[in-house]
Amino acid sequence: MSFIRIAVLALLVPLSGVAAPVTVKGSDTMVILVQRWAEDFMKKNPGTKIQVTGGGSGTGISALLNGTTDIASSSRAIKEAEQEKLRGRYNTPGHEIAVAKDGVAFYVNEKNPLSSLTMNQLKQIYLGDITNWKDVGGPDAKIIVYSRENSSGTYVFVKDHLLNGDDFAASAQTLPGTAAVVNAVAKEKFGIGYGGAAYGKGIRELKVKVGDDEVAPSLENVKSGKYPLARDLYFYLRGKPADEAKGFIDFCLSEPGQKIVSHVGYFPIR
Amino acid sequence: MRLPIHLLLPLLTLPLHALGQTAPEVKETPPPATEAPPPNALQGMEERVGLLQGQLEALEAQYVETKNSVLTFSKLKFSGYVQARYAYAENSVGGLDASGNPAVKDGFTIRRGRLKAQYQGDYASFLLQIDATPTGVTLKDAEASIREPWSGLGITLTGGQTKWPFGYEIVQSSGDREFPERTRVVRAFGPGERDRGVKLALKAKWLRANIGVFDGNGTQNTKYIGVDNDTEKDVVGRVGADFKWLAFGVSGWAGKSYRASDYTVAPNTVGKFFPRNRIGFDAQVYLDLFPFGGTAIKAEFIAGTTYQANGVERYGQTALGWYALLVQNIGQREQVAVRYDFFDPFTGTPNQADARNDSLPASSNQVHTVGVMVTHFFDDVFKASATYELPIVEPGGPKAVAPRQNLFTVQLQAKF
Repeated sequence: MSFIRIAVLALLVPLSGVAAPVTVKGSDTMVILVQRWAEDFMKKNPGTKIQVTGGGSGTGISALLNGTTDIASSSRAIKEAEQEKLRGRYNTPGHEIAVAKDGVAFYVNEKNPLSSLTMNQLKQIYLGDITNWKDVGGPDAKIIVYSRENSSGTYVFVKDHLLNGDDFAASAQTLPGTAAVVNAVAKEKFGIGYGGAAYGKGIRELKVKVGDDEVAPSLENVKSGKYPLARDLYFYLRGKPADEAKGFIDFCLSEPGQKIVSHVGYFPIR
Repeated sequence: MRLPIHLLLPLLTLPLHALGQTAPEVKETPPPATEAPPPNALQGMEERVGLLQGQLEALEAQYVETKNSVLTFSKLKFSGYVQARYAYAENSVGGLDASGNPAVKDGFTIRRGRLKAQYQGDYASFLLQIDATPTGVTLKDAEASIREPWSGLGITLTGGQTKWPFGYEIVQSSGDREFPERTRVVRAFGPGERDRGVKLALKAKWLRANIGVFDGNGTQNTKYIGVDNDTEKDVVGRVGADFKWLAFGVSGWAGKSYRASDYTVAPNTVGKFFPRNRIGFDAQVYLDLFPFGGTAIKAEFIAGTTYQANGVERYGQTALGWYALLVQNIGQREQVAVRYDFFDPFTGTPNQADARNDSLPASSNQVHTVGVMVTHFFDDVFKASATYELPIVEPGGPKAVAPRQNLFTVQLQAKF
């Protein structure tokens, strides 16, 4: 008798409207933004639960590949090898949705007199070829370089777009999350770090010298592509979004969703 | 490890500054507890700070050294898979066949036991893959590769024992392939899938191009395993496009195969070169047709001259074949596939009955194979599949009846 009851209950559970949560896993850069989206979406859709976790873009895409998340948030584009795995395992090329724009900003301590560096100077600092601020027009002090873990999409973006695939200097200190980088640079007078533009508050963002111009990671420079380290922030799914996941993504791309993007400190996709 | 230097130094130096600033107050109201330390104590503290700073700098140097070591190991990756298989074959019999080989075609086996080590440097990479099975350990891949970093075209040069850059199924990993074995046409024209040589690969946006020069015999030519038997080399390549949901390519193979002296064949066919050529077309489409999972359709056609059957080169023989494969994912864990595979081992020769026994088809007759497969993925490591394949040989005569050789295969695969 008890077995029949359990069986009936098991059959009724799917009919009772208790839906499985939509899981979003990945980018630490995007975690605050996605949490804000999720909070607002769940307020408007009380029957839907969105679970948001960080861990890094690579972690999110791995979770998408092994089926433990519905949506991977990523601050870098999916790699070809990852896409091939997705095709091989799920017979789908995956579904990429750009949900916001960002400029990877380099931060220095507020007491650092420098206001801008060239891409080449930044590259040399992160490769470990320049180790003293005086070599780039700053004070005579050792540069304390902060970086991210290799599961971070921002790490991969900087490695690919600034270092042209070369390795970061071994002396670069690896920190978990952009917030930790900002915190370290705020405390370390001679520190330098990088992360999403949204995290740039409380410390100074360096402008990037492009020719004679000093280009800040601002809305207009990121949207126009003038800022050389501009990037899209993505959601990746195994297939076309459906059901609750589709509703959530539609909300993220809607006008209220894109207002949240600006409010958090990133730039709307449209 | 670096953090403590910056945290500790201000903390350690703080008492010194504090002592210096509060010294006059000590004179006005000298409570015994805050009495200034004697000069030698101050000097001792400074020495201690200096000592700690030195120790921390030494730790920092050690940290950088350790990080470099860890970075080296992080570039070294091991992967592999084991395929444990049970096969039930309709034409399996005990004892030995006419060639003296076991005639049993079913039972348990370790089909593949692969272990791959790969080191990915900034520009260069090392790859070594072995296959350990009950019959022994064989070398699969031994590759030395270097990537050109300047053009952004992803140009990579690879030398060693490596896969022929031809078509789709030759290059596809056996750990990822849906069916337990490759199709007949691919097994004939790309036996063992690998050869010794050098190849160049280019990836630029959607363009994929590969070309290589190889010995040509591969790794399964029983007379010439691991060696070349002539001075001629084979050129193999593929040009294709990859648009994520659609990929296709054209492949070519141009070479020669030398037939050495052999007592079993007519003297006028030995001591001469035979053309070893192939042309191939392949396409893969990935579609989101259904909400429950992705759909893939894959097809490939190959035609050519001189191929291998059971490890023996068929000099100058022309053949062709093609396959079409439909794969459907159902949810995240189930996958079903259907494959049709056609192979004509003697093009231009009509299907006929065996000259020695007209109740059997000739070995030159065309073969159609239909297969169905179901796979369950337990997680990203383990999958189990069941496959049923029905080979249908054209009888070629009114009395000839094709032998029944249906094959049922259950395979467990663990991959890391």
